[in-house]
Amino acid sequence: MPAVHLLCVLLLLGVLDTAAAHRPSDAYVTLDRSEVPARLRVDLALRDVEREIGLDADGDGTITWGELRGAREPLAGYVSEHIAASAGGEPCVLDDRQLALARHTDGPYAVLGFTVTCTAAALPDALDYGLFFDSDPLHRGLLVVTGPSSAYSAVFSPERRTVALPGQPSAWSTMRDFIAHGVWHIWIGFDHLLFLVVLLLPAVAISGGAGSGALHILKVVTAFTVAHSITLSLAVLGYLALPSGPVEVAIAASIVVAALANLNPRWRRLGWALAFAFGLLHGLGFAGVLTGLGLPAGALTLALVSFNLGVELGQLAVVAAVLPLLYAVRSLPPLARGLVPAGSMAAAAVASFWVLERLA
Amino acid sequence: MRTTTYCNRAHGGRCASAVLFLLLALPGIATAFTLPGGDVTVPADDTRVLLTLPDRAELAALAPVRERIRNNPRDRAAATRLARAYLELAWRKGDPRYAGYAHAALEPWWNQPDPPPDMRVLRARYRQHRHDFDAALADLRAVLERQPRHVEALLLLASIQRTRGEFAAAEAACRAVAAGGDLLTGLLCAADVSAGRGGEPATRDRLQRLLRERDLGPVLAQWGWNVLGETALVAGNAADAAAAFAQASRYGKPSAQLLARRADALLALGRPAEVRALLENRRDVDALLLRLAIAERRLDDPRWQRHRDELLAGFATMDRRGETPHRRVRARAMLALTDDPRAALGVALENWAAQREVTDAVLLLRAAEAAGRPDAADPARRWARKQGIGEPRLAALATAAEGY
Repeated sequence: MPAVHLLCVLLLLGVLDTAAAHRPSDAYVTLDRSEVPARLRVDLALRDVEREIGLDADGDGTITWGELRGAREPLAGYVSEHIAASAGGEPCVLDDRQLALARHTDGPYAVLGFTVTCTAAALPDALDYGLFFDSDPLHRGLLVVTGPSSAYSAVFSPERRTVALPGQPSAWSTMRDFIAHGVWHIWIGFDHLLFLVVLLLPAVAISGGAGSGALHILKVVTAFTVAHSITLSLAVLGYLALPSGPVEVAIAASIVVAALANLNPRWRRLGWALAFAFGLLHGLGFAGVLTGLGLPAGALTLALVSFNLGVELGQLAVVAAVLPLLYAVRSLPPLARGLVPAGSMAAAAVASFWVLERLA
Repeated sequence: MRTTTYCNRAHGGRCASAVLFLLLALPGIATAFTLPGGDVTVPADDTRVLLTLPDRAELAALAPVRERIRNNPRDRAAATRLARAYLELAWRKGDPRYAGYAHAALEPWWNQPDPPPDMRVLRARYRQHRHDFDAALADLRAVLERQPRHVEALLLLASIQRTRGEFAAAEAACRAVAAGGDLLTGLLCAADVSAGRGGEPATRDRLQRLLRERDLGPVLAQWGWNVLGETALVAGNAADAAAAFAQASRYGKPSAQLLARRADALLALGRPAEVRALLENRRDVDALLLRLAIAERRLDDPRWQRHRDELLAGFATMDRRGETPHRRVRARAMLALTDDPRAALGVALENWAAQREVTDAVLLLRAAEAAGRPDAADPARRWARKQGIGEPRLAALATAAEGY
């Protein structure tokens, strides 16, 4: 009875607030598929390793780095016996490459690094996990798979020991995705669009017939495109890094400048130069958006080029929409005369508001 | 392109040696391995201690039983003994790994529809630990159907029902314990249950007399003082509570739960320095880390932020596991340590769905108030009225110092 009593008594009191308050047993499994061979990292709590294969060689109740190193082979063996990777149904080979130490919130973990070599230089597409479940069914393997474009996560448990990994996106689908992103971001980039429209307005007022208007537009759009492509690429590839706050303010300010320049016939002709100069700035704005989307490490150039292409296509669509309107206005001289100053002033007002807003 | 121009006839010799160098270097290049993810270290010193193994004495005592099971996994007596010992450790240390080990010990019988009663009660305990109350109750009711006087099952039943706010049913279970001949345990059980709904003066007085006049032995005495402390705390009397919890701690190493409530009483009394001293080395249990962080924050001790981050990281890991069992601690942590009372309210409401004791009601009231949505705590107010606790009393606890 006394033994029962002890347990019963302890049972009753406010158990639930504290009972499971420690951390349960977790292992962290990271599979990186951004290159071949894939790399596998397994973080195991030292407590769990000690219980499973024994680490305390001298039995003094402490685990030292030397004891962990000494147990590297059996530990790596245990892991590779209980974790299996496969590609297309064929097993991959795990090679023990590194042993290190990591601290997670609940204590020290042994970190093992493996290369995962699959047949035909493929990347693994399935993982089997069975560490520690036999002695602790509450153990969980927390899996994160990183790859060229997306991250995937899952939890291994006694009920779920196999995970099929999502396939790699094809080049075509990456291209498609980033073109779409580019188009979208120029369409919602009102500041970029407004800048473009401001620069296009003078096409209405340029004398010499429709042809010179069209030429003007062509020069402006090309200059803008080339310029923002340059800075976008440089920023995304890491050669340029400017803080986004001031950049955003400057972008808004560029609209004001361009709008005011429209009011002076001499400056109007140099619209393409302004387009180029400020296009450099706008490119930095796009870079922020693009990196925010998460760039695929293995397909960086493709993503960059596709995004840029999307921006151009989006731009072209806007120009194609605006152009007929401008030409319609050209044929109404009274309106044409007033459009450039009025349109520019309106744009300057809006952009000034943005400047103030972005300064805040 | 460069290689082609470099390796034309004029540069033959240099080209060959360059290619050779590359070929030799290639294996070196190939074997360079970088670990995915960051934040690893490689100690330089073999003698560097990484971990001191916990609970050595307790585990050493269990070694012979483990050995028996290793030789024969179907040894019922050994499995029951081991599982029971592990579950007790899980509770006392606040360490859920032991619950997992208990499960492993009982694995050969786990999925049987009708396991032996002792094992079934242990399975119920495990399920309670995992907050799977319905399954636990099912197991207990099955055991009690055959053995209506099974003390352990009755006490566990009372505990779960108390947590869910089903006080009448819990008290009935305690009465059954007394009716079975164990009057003392029955009384302590009843007092414990009544603390969950605010405590009753008559029960409290009886308990006090009992503790003063009789030698209950360390186990029951500790339980008794613990219950007195709990009763005092939910009655809004932190001074009596702190004294009772201190008394309970003298009867043997205090459990995580006892320490936590003692810390609450001290916080309510405005004595955070004592809380910090009490819990300084107890970062291993979330419920204690919570109280420590709260005390440190009160004392403007900068460590509180690191401890808050540890708590939140722990919750995030539980989220990744797909488990949310510790909502009471989580809600309180979010309320006391973060600036997001609305999120705290969300968790407090989730907690209320699973647990219904005075502490949970007070937590909900506080969270609702802090989030600017006092109406969200109406279910708790209704519950308090129904349990005879009374809304004013609940409100008083909620507006009093943190710790109640």
